[in-house]
Amino acid sequence: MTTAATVPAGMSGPQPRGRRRSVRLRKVREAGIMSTLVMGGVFSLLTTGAIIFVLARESYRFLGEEDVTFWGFIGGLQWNPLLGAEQHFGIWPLIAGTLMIAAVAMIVAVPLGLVTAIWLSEYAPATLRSILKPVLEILAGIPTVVFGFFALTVVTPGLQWFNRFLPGDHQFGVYNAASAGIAVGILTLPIVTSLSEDALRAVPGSLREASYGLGATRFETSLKVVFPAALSGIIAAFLLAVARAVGETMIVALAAGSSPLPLHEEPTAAIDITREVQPMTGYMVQIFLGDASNFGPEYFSSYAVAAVLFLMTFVLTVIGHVIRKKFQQVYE
Amino acid sequence: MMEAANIPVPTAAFSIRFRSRAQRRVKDRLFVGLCIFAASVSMLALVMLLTSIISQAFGLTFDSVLPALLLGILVFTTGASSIAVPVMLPRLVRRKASRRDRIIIVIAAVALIVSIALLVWLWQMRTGRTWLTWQFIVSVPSRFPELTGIWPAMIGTVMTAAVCALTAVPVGVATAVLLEEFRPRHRILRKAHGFVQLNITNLAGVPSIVYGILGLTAFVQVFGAFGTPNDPAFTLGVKWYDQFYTESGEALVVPVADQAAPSTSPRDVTEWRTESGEVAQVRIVERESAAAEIEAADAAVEAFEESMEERMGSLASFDAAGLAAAVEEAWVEAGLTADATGVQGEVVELLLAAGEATGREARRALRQAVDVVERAEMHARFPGVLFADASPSRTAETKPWYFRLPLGRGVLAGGLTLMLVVLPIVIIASQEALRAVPRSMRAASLALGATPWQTVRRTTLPAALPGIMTGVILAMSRAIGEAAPILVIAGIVYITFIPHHLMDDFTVMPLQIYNWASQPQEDFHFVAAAGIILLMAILLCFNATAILIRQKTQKQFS
Repeated sequence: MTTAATVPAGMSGPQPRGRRRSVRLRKVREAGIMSTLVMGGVFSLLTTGAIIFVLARESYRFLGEEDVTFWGFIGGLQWNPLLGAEQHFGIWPLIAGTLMIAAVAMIVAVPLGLVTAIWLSEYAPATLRSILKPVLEILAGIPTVVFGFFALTVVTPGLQWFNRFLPGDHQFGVYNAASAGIAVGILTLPIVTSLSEDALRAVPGSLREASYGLGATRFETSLKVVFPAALSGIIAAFLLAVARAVGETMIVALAAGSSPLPLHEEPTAAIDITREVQPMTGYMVQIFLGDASNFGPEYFSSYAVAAVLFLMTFVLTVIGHVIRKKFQQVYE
Repeated sequence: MMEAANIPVPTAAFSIRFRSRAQRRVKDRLFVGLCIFAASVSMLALVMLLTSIISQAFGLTFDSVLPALLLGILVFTTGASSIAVPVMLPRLVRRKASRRDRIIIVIAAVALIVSIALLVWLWQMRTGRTWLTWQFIVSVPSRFPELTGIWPAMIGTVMTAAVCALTAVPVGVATAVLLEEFRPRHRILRKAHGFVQLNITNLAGVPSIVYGILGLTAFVQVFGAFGTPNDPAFTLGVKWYDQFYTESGEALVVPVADQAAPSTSPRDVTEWRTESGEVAQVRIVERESAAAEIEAADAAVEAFEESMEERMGSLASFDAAGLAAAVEEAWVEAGLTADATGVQGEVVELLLAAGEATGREARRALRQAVDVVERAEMHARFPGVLFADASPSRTAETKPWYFRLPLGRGVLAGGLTLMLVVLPIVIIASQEALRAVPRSMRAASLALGATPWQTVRRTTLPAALPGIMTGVILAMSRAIGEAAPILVIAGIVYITFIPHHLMDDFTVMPLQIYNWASQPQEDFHFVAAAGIILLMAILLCFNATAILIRQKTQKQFS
């Protein structure tokens, strides 16, 4: 594809020791290695291509099924593919479930993560930071199924303790959105903290010194100087965390439940976090665990749901990337 | 103190409210408090996570959440004070401590002693059994929480992780080298380069379950290009057999051409061999000619069953001696011809195992016992006989290198799917490691006449190797913990054996844990907790290795 980028001149001169090698042979070898490397790059492109191809092909097949229309799928408020006499494929109950859990997760993760990040970067002594940063990395490495187990056996009973203060029709059940959301929040907490802290620390010290020089306290410096300067990085971190929360599977499969929100009957269910919800990933797990007969519309619907999920995370990732690249302030 | 005098401001555009220094300092302090609170809540969440899992795996369970929360706080205090005391103690000894330091150390020491005492007391209060045992590690899954184990899942994890590492590392490092070391100069190629980079950023954000769906189509079915997984178009290292069972229960095998070959008839076979390859003496008997004998055997067995049922209903004491006597009596009464030694003992054991259970349990135990008797009776009457109309079952003898296309729901498909999941992580980590190698080293290598590839091979890659290895190990720990893509590839299958080849059905530890955690019985949740501890211990080893490599090989390039 491309020849070597920086070939220094005069490399064909005689070598003082060792065998003389043919320059041409070496060039052929370099080209061979280069094309092997290019294959690696092509492989990553092929992966994306294959994801899009598979999702598009099966979604197309799904939309071609009886009782399924494109607008009914994109705009429908009822998702009922497995039970009952009539199948309904309207994606919004699943999207609402996903967004609900992501929202709870962000309510948990963003304030805690952001404040921890500011503290780590601006206040904490170096020794404490050197302990806490690896701990955050460990937290980030815990498998998600562990968080799902935690949600099911600790968070849910914890939330049910509050049931005594809640009205009878808004009690926390065994499966609920809040529990899954809190667990997803704890899962994304290290991502928010670590990436925000990186962004905050990338702000040059001269800005802080200038602020102190003008008589600002540390609090004022962090909040009014450092934080705005790092905002693009922080927003990118936030979007990445949202993408992670949206795509989270095992936690919601264990703790969120398996009945989609009945948005067509009560639209307000979309903000009731005590309810059992089924997000997009939860539905996919249900299908691939074999709850549906293979090759019916309900089986192919999981591909269409996956396509919507892929689009959502794709948009979030790209926006995050663009924000980081475009709005990054370069300090010299 | 509270409100400083508002200095009149010259213009409207310049409207800063001046606050007193004290007020601003209070705000600063408050914010520090908030920060420490937030950090503590985060740490408490982590501690709660660990303590709840550990306590469940070791039989320390609570009826409500409040004690569990208290336990979490207790462990948190223990941890915090056990860090604080050794840090502060030297200062106290060297008399450098300020008054505040002294107060802190006294509080920390008291907290440490009290919380350790409380933890020991709690440990004594354990009510449940210990679930994380050696037995649990080496057993296969079972319906009973006390007997279940994680061994096949562990082996499955090791095999998929090996496949994943062997494929992801070369591809990932090659891509990283391409992106970092061979940046093109041409305008269009630079665009392509940027596009690949953006693509990898995007791939890192794709949910893992979507990779599972891709793997299902691309690896399990290979896009349907080679037939279905049940009828693969290409196989290697497999032999197909028709398997017969003689009336003595001996397994006989007849090789056939392939999976789709028509069933063999016993009449056509000239030489019989057992599974181990020895020649077997087999009499082929037409069923019609032995009809009377078969009927007699059936009648005897039926009589035995009936009389056993009767006897068990009126048994005075349900113990081994009583049962043995009952079996013996029923045996003689039914007129069975089989050799009673051994068989009767087996029957008694089966019935004893069911205990005094009634209803379905008892009937199932009796059914099993009768099956044993029936087999013995048929063996006694027809030793080494195979009926001519016996129908075989198609079995496969697979070599360890068994391979087929499409890959099917096997270890290889699972490992390759995990490779897709971790590939972006490996690429990004390797890129960062390569970027950390200073330009001057490359320049020196190039100046000595090395080609770009030689520079990469001999200079850049070795220098970046520790960083790459750290990244690879962290990526592998991600692969080991990943459950969603494997769930799509393997499904929840009840695996009670170790995969023998790369096409075999399998399960992995996170998936097995998910399986247990989603069971309704609470005992299985404790089993899941034990599995989680094991999984996290493995991951901790991985992470520790990564950190160790990073620290041992950290060279400063400047």
